[in-house]
Amino acid sequence: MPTYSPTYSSGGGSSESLLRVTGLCKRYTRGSLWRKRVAVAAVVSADFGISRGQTLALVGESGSGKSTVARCVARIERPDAGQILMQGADIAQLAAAALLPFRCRIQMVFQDAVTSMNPRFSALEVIEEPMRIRRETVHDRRDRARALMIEVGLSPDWMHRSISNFSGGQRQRIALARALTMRPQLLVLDEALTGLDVSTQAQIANLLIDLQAAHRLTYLLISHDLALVARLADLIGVMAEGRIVEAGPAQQIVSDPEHPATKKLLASAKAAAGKLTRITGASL
Amino acid sequence: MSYILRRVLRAILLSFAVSALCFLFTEMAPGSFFDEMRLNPQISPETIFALRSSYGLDQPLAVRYARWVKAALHADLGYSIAYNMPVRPLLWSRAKNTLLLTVSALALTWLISVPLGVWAANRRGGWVDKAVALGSSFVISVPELVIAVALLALVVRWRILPVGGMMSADSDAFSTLAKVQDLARHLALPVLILVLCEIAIIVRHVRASVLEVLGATYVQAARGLGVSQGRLLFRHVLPVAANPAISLLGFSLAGLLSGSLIVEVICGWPGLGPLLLEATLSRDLYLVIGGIMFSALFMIGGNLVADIMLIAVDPRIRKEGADAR
Amino acid sequence: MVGPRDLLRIRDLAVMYSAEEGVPIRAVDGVSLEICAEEIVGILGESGCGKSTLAGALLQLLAPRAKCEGEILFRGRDLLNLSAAELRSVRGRDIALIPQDPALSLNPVMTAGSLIGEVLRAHLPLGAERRRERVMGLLREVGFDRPEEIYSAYTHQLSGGQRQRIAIAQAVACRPALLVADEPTSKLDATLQSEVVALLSQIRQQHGTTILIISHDPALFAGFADRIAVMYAGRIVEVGKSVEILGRPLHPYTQALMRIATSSVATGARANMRLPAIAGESPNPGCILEGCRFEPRCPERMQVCSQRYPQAFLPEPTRPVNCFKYGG
Repeated sequence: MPTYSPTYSSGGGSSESLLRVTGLCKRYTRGSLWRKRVAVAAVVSADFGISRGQTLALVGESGSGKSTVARCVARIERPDAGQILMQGADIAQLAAAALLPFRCRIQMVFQDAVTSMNPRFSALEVIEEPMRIRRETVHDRRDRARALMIEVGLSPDWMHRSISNFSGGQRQRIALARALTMRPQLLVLDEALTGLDVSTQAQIANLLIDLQAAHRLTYLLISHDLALVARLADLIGVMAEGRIVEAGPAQQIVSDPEHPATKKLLASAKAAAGKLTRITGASL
Repeated sequence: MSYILRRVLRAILLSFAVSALCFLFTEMAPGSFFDEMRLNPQISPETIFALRSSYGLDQPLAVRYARWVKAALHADLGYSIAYNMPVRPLLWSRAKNTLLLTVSALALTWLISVPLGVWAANRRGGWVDKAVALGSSFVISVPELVIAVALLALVVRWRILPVGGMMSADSDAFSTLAKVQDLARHLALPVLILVLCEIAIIVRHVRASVLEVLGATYVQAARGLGVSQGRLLFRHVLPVAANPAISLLGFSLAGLLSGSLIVEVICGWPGLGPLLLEATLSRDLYLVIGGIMFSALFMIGGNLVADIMLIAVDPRIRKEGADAR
Repeated sequence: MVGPRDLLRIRDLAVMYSAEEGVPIRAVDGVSLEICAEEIVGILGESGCGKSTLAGALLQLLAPRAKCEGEILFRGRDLLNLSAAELRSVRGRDIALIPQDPALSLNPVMTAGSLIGEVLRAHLPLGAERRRERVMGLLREVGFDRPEEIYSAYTHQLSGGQRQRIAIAQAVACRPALLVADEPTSKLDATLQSEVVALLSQIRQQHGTTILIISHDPALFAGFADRIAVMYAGRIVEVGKSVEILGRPLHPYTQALMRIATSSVATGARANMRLPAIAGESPNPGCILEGCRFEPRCPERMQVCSQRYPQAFLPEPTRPVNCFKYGG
């Protein structure tokens, strides 16, 4: 199956390549007590690239391998094969110590804020954690946390409130603030908008757009929701069974899908929207 | 299956390691069986030397170990110098008594702890729960030795149970039923001490485990579908709560031969405990090593059984074992 | 409006949790709703509005410290005043709840077959053989082609969509009159949404089951629900026929929600274009406001909105709306 590499630079200006992934592969062994142990590839082969300031979305159903790609890029897992070039340097197989300088540049935001944060910590403690690791002073940490909270739309008065007292949307804002602490260049958003209310999702999506413009961030967005993703992404890669089966600019994918997997995703998105528009008639 | 095989292999390796360490430590401990004899001017050094070599004690450590392992694999554990008989039958006869004691105590402990823990968890904050919490705290904070002596004193004072030994002196003349009754009465005190101390620990674990599962979403969902509380507890909650309890059971099984040492000595129960104590004090080498190996094997075996039980009860463990890379 | 075929009548339901200092938190604050037999009614609202608490209150599945006030009349009986035994017989047999997250609501050490069998066991005196047959039938009904495989499968061996079907099978096992589905698709892939909806429609068709469906996503109700009640901060703010609520919402909150829901790329929106989000957050249940609860975020707020709570106005005969735009 041919691989697609959507390195596509949109609209003018410099488009330095920030991330270039080639031949990424990750296997897990599966098997039961009674059958032979068989290696199953969660990701068979993935190739893509993102330029600075762009958003690339990987969409697919559960089990298509998109979360695994995200985790490999953020080096939470080590890929079995392939290259991950971050501004030229291959981080795919680096050991922990060598990886440290890159940890600042790539940050990850997870889906379920409840499980990615200690519910007993306060908002301040969560946001300043990366700063503590880097041993910045208490004062600096506090100031920076304050500034970040304002930036993500939270009142700094809530700094000492514990995580369990925040709503789902607010927790995702805190997660974003935490991710921004180290002034990263690339944010990997693993289903970060999934599971949020329609209204909260819209707010967080807008926040992502604003942050991207303000800090020239690059996003690798993972989702199963093609409709949502098409609003945020410049490029879309559709994953199925561990491969990227179709890729291209967002508008093109949405208006003219080719692969059956893409068509299936688009069909369900259109079905939902279509039911509504039939009822609402002309747009509000 | 491979999960079980790996566990068994690990158990065998562990046994060898324990035996080697045993040898090493007894070698490093000061003194030997013949030290007292050496002090006696009437016994010549040559006699002692001859005695030592007849027991193979003059050989280097590695050789002794190798010969012991070879013999052990043929179920020959050496010779006891003090009792002047082979180790294995000596150990086994005492071990049987210990097993009788500890198996009875184990069964009784779990038969009481599980329902009690479930009751306490089910009616959280009720009087049973509070009584369990208070009682177990008390028993845990008092050392087993003190509890044993206290109960011993009570029993002797009030003459409710016989103390010391397994049977009364004239038991041979009893009928079978009377013999069993006699045995039970002698067994009562040491079992009581063991059970009391064990329940305090087990019931708290059972309660905590059940409480945790009772709060789970799937239990709420089942309750919402109309499953009765009783059925919920025993069909939906216990199998999940059993996981940590089975690990505990493994520990209990493991301690079957070694956990009752203090109690046996205090109550005069003729088990492994008093035997090993004596052997260690008199440096009866092969008896000590044999005794330790017996206990160690039991411990390893007990844990193995617990592991197997875990697989049988919890399908998630099966999956985890299979998925591990 | 009291209809002759009323299955469920909720009157002034309030659910309160006592707080540490003083005022109790009212998760549900005076909700009244009527549901007729064989209707599909949707409750639309964001998280924290009390919709899941409402569902829990129906079957008294809330935390022990929650206190309920008001009336919930099911076929004439007040569900809030039942004995424990009566309640147990209602749960799963007359009213069944499909919980939010199928990954968490299925016992991990029981097979799918025994999970469904447990519901049957609790209410119907069937022998083991008959039970097994019935479970197989149910598995086929919810769309499994090979029920024998699923029967002996454990939760962790099933996909999200399959787990949701098992949960649905459990709920319909005893053919309850009312099915309550709490966010049935929010934890599933978007592609599975239409399958779940189709399954629930089929259940209504074949067995005349009434369905109360709870969600934050308006798209779920489109073409499926008959009526929708919109909830905000513990109260119902608008009720009406589904096509009316979605197509011509009257309450500013519903209008804002629909603006977001209909601005999708499938209808022509461009990438990186901001969505028409509602500013602010829904109020903390612990802070009770005097006037309309949506007022701080409402683009059309007026002076009166922060002073009094708007009662239900009737701009049209069958469309009660709690908003001062339409009266007062």
